[in-house]
Amino acid sequence: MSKPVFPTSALADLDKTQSRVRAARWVTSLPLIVTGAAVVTTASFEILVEGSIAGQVIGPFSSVLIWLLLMVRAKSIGLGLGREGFGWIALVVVILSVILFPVLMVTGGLLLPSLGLVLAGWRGHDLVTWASAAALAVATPLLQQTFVEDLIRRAQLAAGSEAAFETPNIDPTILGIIGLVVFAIGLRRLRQDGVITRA
Amino acid sequence: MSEHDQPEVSSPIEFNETVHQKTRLGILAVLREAGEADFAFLRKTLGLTDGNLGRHLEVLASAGYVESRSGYNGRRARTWIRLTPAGETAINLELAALKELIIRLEHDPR
Repeated sequence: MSKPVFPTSALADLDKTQSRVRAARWVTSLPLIVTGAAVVTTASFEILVEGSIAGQVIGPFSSVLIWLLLMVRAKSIGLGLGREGFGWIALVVVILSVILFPVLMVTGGLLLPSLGLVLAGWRGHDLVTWASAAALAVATPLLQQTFVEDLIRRAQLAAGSEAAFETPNIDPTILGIIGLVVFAIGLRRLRQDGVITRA
Repeated sequence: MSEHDQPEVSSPIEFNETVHQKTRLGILAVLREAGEADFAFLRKTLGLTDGNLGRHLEVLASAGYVESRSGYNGRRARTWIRLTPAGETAINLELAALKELIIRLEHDPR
């Protein structure tokens, strides 16, 4: 009954087992897909509706959706929710989104879910998730404050030209592109999850 | 031979015999990642028979490393196995010991 354990092969086996469980849970792909979709939707609203506060609703909704989808997925295959703490993160994001509503008007509603995803990625030892979420957490408040548009305007003024061309939607467009990239990373990882679980 | 010429003797690495076994290590690895898992998932993922998995779970449960509970998924009965805090500590110590052993083997492969 007792098989010997060799250190290198044991660690490799453990790594493989944990990768299979992680892939089966979709825990490194689904949060990125949902967050990416939330960012694209928020950016679209900002382009289409001036002064849109869609992000304040979509942000906390995305955190809850990630938790719900991961829970349904985990239970359906016979696993627990893991150590990332998506349930707690969703709860805190929803509460803070209500309490800090005026602050989030300035920073953008996607800041809190992005920070939540940084925490989840860090707790799950998933570099891609927390790095992507960290990039979003930095970009969201800047782009909410028309950072790029102001930068272009200042550059034009410095160059002596009087607003040579208007760039009214450049910031939400960049936000949308970042969202698409995050979404694409998530989809790619979902395909990898399928390969790992079928192997 | 002077005192400085003595080869450095490192303390022996101690392994927990309950955890230091391939199948039980696999069970704990699954539980460490997911927190809990049902019996069927463990059996399928680790390629074990019901009896074999049951015996290994008994060993882990008697050491206080896992605990089980019964639940339902619709009409189907399920047995969920959960990692206890003692189990988490045990697998973390095992991982640390394995890594330490690899480091020592790399430095002194005799």
